[in-house]
Amino acid sequence: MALAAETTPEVGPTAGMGFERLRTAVLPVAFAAALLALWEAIAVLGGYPKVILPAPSDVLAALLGDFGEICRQAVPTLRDTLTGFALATVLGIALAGLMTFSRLLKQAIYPLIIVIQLVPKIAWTPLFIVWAGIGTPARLAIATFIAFFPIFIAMVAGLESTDGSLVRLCRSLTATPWRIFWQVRLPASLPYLFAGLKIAITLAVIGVIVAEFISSSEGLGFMILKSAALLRTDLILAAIVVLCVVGLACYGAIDLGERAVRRWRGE
Amino acid sequence: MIGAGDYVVVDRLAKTFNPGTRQQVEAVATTSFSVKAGEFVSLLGPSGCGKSTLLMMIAGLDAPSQGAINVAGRTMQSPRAETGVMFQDPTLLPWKTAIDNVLFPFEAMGRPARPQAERAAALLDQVGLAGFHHHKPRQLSGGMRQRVAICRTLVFEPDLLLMDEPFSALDAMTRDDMNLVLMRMWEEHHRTAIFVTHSIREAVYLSDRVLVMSQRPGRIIADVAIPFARPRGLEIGETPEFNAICSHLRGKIQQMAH
Amino acid sequence: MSETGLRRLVPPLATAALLLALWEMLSRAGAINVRLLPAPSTVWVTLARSVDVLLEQALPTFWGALAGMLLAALLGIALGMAVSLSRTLMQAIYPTVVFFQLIPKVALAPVFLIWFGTGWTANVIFSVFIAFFPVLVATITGLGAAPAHYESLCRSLTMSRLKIFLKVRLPFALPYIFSGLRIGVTFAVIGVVLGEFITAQAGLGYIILFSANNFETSLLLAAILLLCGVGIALFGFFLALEAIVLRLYDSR
Repeated sequence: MALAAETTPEVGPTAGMGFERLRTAVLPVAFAAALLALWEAIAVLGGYPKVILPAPSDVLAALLGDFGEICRQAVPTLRDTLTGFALATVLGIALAGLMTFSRLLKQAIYPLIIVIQLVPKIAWTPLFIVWAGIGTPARLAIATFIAFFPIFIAMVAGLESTDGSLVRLCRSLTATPWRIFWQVRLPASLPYLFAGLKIAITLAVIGVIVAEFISSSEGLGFMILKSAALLRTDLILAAIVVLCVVGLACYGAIDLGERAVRRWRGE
Repeated sequence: MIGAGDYVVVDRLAKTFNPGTRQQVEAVATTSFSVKAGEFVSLLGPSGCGKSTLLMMIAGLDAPSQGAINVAGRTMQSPRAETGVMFQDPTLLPWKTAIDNVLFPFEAMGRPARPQAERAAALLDQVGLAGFHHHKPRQLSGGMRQRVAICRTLVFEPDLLLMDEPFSALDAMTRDDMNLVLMRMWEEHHRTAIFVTHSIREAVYLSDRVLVMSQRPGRIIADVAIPFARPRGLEIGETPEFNAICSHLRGKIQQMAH
Repeated sequence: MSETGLRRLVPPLATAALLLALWEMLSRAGAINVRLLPAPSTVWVTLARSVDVLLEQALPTFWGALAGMLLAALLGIALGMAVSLSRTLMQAIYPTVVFFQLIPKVALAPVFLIWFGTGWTANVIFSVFIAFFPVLVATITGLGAAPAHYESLCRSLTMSRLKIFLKVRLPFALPYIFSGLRIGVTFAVIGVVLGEFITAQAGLGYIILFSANNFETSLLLAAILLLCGVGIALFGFFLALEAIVLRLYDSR
């Protein structure tokens, strides 16, 4: 994350190490805190109406005041996002796996999937609403659809990345293609899979929110839109805070999984 | 397991890559030779002469353009479960420990690995890796990884060993060590073995016979018997007889350069 | 080379043709609800009939995404360079930037609605907001990508920091920056289309929403097709830009 090329710290070696670690932890926190303070100052001192620029304190008040309602609205959003994501994972891995067994299948289908990728996927959202109906079916369909592509593409890349000499070794041991897939290709593809999962969960959340913007009667996206209509910007930001926390928690969980996989692979 | 007579018969084998296109390459020209059961034979030749291609065909990992290969009385068409192949790259699974890597062939063949765990452990101890059973490949040096690979190749008791320059990527001192390790392991069961190398000394030290291959398109141009008794220590490398044979082989190889 | 290229095209094209034919047959046979999924022929007819309307509405979407992307690129690269000049600044700012990158920024669309109202300009501003972060992250990552020994070499040659920046760090950063731009283009289009969904006044997003509300599915599909074209056009624009810049840098 930090710059690769840099000067050595000015202090001695051991003292320098501790100083470095402290810097890396403190600086970003200090910066973020400074930003929040600046925001609060501008909002309060600048005299902006709460509609335009609620202060962080206002957002906090709204968050605490309507916490129950926000959480209630978060449930359908989160539930359908995660279900769609899980479905997309299963489908993505299965289809990618199928591609490794038949080269013709891969040559025929993979380019088509890449082409479908070109359309910005939220543009499909109204279509999915027409097909699946408002509410949970639409959310589920969109989350699955959006999350599928990054997972599929990542899995294909991962399965192909398997070391050729490993595959050759397995062939010399007369392993069947199925066993080669399970014991070698699948473990080899895990880092790629997790990279794809991270992208997928981020996109799935976006897709569901957009669906709720367009037409829904529940969910965080709906709540945000309703708050906008009521000119309760503080409530909008409070709902967004909860959305962010939830989204980051999911992302963080996947990241932890990725680290565990890397450790297992002995990297 | 050990019988008299030929174990591997290579009959007028030839291999051309990309036939009929502009990238056509004749890797192996019509070649015939045979290996008796229990013999250790080296294929010696310069880089690119097709010796690895020849070995891959004997392993069943590549199909010949012409001719046939016979192993233990059966024509080779696809990889054989009873053949053990060692490559230049140790090719260990990075997520498995050393001992799990040794047990991998059983998984690959769909046989239960648990009963073999003791044998795997014993093999690792034999090559000097006691205490490293549960290390992952990234914690092992290149030489250690190749030793794990040797154990993996021997654990399922193959009746034919095929080795494609397994020590070429190692430094000279480790290479000598590995030759010794291989010799000790081999001398236990005298499995039929074909060993590909471009090192003359290595070929002479390890083998009963050395087959010299010409430059591409490769064919066997010499078949030299190595008269040293077994077991062989590394010190025979200093004897005048050893150096004489090496010179003889070097002469054969240099003859081709014209 | 071209003969293998052509051979590669055959399986996907054949599969696509097969699927289209199957779709058409099933529609005609009545096996598919044509209100939900009209036959390809119907979509084609609608496309031909409405092509002028669609193209007219494609323009605000295209220009909006382009403007959004160019502004996002300028801001992202400039800020990325500024931040990368000082390690302290980088350490302080980067985690916050990553945070903004990870949160679902589309959820802020209604806030932008309150701030900037409806209209094409508002869409562009939102699009800039969304496309800016991937470019910024990519620029910062890229400027840190030059291996340490290059900078050591340059410092031993007593090159000034500015020169090191221009001659070493920037060239190493270019592939990352362009990768970020490509991601940014996708997000810029998403931003504009989302803006059009919410404000529902003009653009392809508006057409898509309008046809969905009226169950005019073939118009919807035609609009999506056109949106695909807009995306490709923008993508192509940035690919051309990348080719030009790389050639400029190589010839130096």
